[in-house]
Amino acid sequence: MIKVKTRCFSLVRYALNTSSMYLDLEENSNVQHLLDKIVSLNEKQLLGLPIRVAVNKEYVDESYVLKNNDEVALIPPVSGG
Amino acid sequence: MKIYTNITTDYIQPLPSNDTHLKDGAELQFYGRVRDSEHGEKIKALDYEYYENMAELELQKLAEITYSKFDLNEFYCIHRVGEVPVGESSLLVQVWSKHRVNGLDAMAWFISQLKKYVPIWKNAVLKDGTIIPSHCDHC
Repeated sequence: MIKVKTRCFSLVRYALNTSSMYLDLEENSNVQHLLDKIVSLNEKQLLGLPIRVAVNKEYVDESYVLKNNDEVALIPPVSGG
Repeated sequence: MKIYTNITTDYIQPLPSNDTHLKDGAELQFYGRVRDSEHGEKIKALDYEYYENMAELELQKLAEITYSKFDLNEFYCIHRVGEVPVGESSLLVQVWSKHRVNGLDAMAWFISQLKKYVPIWKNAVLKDGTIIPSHCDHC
């Protein structure tokens, strides 16, 4: 098993009612596996929401394989400016 | 390369006039300001949430791409986060270029990219203090 720190922002933070949490994942889990797990926590609000993912502050795609202690940011559509 | 970017919780001070850009025919300045309504509701402020450290990195990366892509001679961007009251500025972008077309195109492109990639989110602070996420329908 690996453990990753998940950072939640904006709509994801509202849906999960937390700004960060630790998740345990199987070895060799990728970003898509993590997203599936996250969405299952609140399908009503998260299913269909476009969420980009950054690992250790770099955008990655769904096939990125996570490592122990990675910081994974869940990034819904941004709205700066 | 003359590029300056920053994310701050402080009030954005206007840049003073600068007459030393002797090779630049264009200087553009853009202020993004907080309107008094969001989606038809009166608000008292926008509360900007951001992903610390990554937002700074993405802003700098985007500034460097913009600087090169549009052949700019100087680039300045400051984004305010935290609570920004109605009327105040949340974003200041200033560019200098030899020709106006480069500056105008750079400004439009940079802001559109910022609104896609830099991890900053705005939340509307309603008159009663309630905070709700606020999304840009026209970006």
